[in-house]
Amino acid sequence: MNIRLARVDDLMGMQACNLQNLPENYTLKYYLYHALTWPQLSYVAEEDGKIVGYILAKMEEDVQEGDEPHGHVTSISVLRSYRRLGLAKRLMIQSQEAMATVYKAAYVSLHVRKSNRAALGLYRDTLGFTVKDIEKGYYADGEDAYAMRLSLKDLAR
Amino acid sequence: MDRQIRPIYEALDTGSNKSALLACNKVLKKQPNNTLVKALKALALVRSQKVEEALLLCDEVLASKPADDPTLTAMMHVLRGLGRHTDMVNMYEDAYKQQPGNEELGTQTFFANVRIGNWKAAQQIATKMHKQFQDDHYLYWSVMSALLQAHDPTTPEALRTVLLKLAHRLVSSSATPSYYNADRFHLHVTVLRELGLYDEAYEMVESDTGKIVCSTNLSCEELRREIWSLKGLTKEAGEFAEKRILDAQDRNWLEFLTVVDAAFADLTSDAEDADAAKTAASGRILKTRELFGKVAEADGVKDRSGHLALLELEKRARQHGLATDSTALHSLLDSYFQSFGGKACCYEDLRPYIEFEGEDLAQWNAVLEKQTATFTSVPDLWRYINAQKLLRFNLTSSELTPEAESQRAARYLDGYLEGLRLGKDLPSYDLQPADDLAILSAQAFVNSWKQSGDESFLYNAAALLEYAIARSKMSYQIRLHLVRIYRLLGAASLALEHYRSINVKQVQNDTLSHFILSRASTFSLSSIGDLTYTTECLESSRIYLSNSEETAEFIVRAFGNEKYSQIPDFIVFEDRLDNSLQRDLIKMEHVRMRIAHEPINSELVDMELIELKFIFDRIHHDNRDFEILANYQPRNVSTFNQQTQFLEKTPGLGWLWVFLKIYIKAFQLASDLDDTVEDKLLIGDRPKPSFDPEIKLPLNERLASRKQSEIDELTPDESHFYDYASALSEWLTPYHDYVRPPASAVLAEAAKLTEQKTGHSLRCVDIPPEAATNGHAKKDEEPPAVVEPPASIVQYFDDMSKRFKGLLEGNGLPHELLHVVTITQEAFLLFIIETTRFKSPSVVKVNKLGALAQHIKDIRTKATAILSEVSAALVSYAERESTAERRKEVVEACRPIIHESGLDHDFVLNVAKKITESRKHLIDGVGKGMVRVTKTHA
Repeated sequence: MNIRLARVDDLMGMQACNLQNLPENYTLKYYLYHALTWPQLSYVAEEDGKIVGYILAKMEEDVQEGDEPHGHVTSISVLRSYRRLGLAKRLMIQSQEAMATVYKAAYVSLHVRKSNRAALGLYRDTLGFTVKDIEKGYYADGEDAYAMRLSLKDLAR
Repeated sequence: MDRQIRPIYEALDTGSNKSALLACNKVLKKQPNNTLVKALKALALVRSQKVEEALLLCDEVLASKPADDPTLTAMMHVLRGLGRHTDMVNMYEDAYKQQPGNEELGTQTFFANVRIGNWKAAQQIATKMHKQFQDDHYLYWSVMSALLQAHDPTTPEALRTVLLKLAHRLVSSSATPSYYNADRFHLHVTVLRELGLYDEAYEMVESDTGKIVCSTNLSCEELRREIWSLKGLTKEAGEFAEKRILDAQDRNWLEFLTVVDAAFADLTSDAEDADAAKTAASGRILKTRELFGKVAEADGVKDRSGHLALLELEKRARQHGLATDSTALHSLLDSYFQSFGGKACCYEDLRPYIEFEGEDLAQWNAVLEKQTATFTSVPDLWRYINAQKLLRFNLTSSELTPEAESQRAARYLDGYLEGLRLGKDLPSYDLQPADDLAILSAQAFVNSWKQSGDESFLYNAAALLEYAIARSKMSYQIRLHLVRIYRLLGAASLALEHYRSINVKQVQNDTLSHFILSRASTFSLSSIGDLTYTTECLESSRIYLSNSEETAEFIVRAFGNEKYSQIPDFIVFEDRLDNSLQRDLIKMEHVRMRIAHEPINSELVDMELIELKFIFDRIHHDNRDFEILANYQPRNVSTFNQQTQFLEKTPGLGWLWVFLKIYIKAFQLASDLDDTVEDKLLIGDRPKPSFDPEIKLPLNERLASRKQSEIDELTPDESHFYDYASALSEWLTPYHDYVRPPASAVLAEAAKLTEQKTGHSLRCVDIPPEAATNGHAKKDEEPPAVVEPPASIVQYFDDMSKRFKGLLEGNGLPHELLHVVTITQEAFLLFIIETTRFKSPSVVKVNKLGALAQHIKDIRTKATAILSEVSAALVSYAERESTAERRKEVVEACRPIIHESGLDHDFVLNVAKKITESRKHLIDGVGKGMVRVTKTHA
């Protein structure tokens, strides 16, 4: 298993992960924008040349007054057969480190489906995120999302 | 002035093109020469699809050589909308020449060249801008452009080194060192690497500043590793990786591979003393084994890397004859299976290490057979699934009889049903942990079908997968399996339903649409006006438009932000999508469906001719993903993907080339456009000229060439069709060439049409007065003598009728039957395309081709009779599909999988109903469509 920076043409290889885990419809432009704007924040996990997981992340662009610069996980996905191997954690940590060191992010935020207990467990118990808020009807199908965040103060160099 | 122009911009911004046009016309009434307003009007016209009028205004504005920013910006959008990128470059170059001190204009000129990949001009502009404005980033723009020109496929080999040297000279001349910016540093090291200056590159990445850059930028770090490997520093890299593994707890597999490579480094370099090298390697292997052992022990089941590295080391030691303990591999495998058998990836992890035979195999299988189908937890279930997959992988041909396979399938299915209990509380979007047992069962059934030819096994597979998909709605894997099986069974609407439920998005349309659109014309009902599949082609192709609109802009932005390390990636990505093989395979299917549905007139023929000729000049990339389809078939039979291919042939580049040749030739004959006319009527840029010597050959030579490698991709019936098509066009070419009106007359006609449509004459076309007369001009030479049609044309329809009857009697699978009938219909349509010119009695009379017309009529009559016959047979075949007996037969075939409850008789009956109804609908439609096609072209 290798974790490496995501490249633009990984888009073609990321399809299996997306088929399985990505109900939201991100446009081509959106991916390209991530790749160009924050090239250090997105990673893929590769196994025998096959992409089995990835994290797509960005820096928040309009930081509210009084808020600090922070990162946001747009999407994280691990192929089903490669779950429970600590892969999501490794992807997340890579991205968080880059957020803190390259962009001086104070914290990282993400959204998770209320019903997705497995993901919730990962973020809260394994990675130390806390629930900040509930966003009503965040997903296209109407489901609520938990808004979670994790401080990156310890990682800043 | 502003007061008048603002409403125009507002209307354009909100997409109300009509009011924008009105506002423009109002201003132009008072100021007929206002170029900005003219440009804005052109934009509104382009956006309302009024291309001819837009072209006229566009040319007027371009002729005035605009240099002000608002007009240039408006024109940029107009030209982009028209696909006239070359004109955009010229426009900016002219403007920049008028104001050489305008930095923004220089930048835009540079970007315009970047958009069309014109690296040579881009490089020159950047160099000029660097001299003039003294900003370093222009220098790096020119370095990057030189590098890209060196990589461009159209650049001659000899020029490449020159360009790289130029890039090197430029980058060395920079006033500020490249390490000030990681991307500039990356570019600098890349240039050195390309030139093979590894020592210099090594010095750069290993300098104090270089180390800092690499430690904070992963792209540079990747480049550093590459330089190490290019310098042959295998052992040093191994030591470095060892430190990463131990000190930084790095568990990237590449680090482990680097250490393994280092262990065998003495053997691969040309060692003078082979024995000494072996001794040295043995020592290193021992040390490496210790290292990995320590890692594996410390990590336990938390990480697989150390454990897998031990396996990899042992495998390579065996390959080099340096394995010391013959039981080592077995105990490693055993322990791996004990530690990770409960993880879903265990099968993929171990597959590279288990190609055993004889005693070795027996010993390994004994470990696996201990896993029984009694499981109380998900990891238990997975351990069982992994054992089944691993056992299956090594099955030998004597163990793979249809009977043995269907027994195995039934056993997998029992395991699946048992395993469902463990996932009964999962949310609806989650997948059942037992799914892979259903897939194993389906694959075993498919293998039984493949060995025996008995289609009842396919019904079993379909029914059990339908049961599984209802319990794992999001399983794309199960749906892809169903798509494949339903296509074989001719249940096209069900296949499409499952494909659409996968909810394919964005780039997936390129990588995955082959599942449903490969040879889709076989399953299309366009002939009776059902455009479901035709629409699917168009929907899937949208991604290519967003790519050409969007990706080039990102390349421009990457230059703007100095993200040099990413530019080549964006270019590769754009190219792979733009020249995607799947894109043009879809296009070809779309054409095949279109001709069965639309009237065959010059509009269709001319447009498709131009488009197919463009495609014929492309260099294609195959982005199709076949790997995504899981394969659990034993290693000595074909993969599941191969087994379920349409007639065992996947269309590739060769297939595309053959069909392009067939259709370009047919449309060429039918069309009045020759190259000179086409040039004049074409809007927008042509594709970049290809560098492939074969593509540079004259078109007619290319159309005539027949290659075995291409024919090998065809089914026998397609190959037969190809022969027929070649004979047909060869026979008719002389008559078309004689009758086709001269270029000047064609242009005159086009001009007349344009004038009727827009009230303006056609741009840049001078019509000689004598060409403007209507009617059929008298020819100086005599018409070619009419010869008998070659026997192969006449015979073709008889042959296909026999083929069809043979399949009908021999119980061919529905997709085989459909293949034969749709291709026969296609042959008829091709005949119509190539003979429409001779349908007009006046054309026949003036050109004295009465004898030809008679031959054509005879063939058409015969083909029509045969198509009607086939049609009637299909309609009655379809009727039989919808009977209760037929449903009962299917249910009866599924006896092996019918259970007391759940997957019971009623469930299977329901599936049988869906399959037979879907098949009835398709076959009935295809049958009726054939008659309709013959009537349309009677």
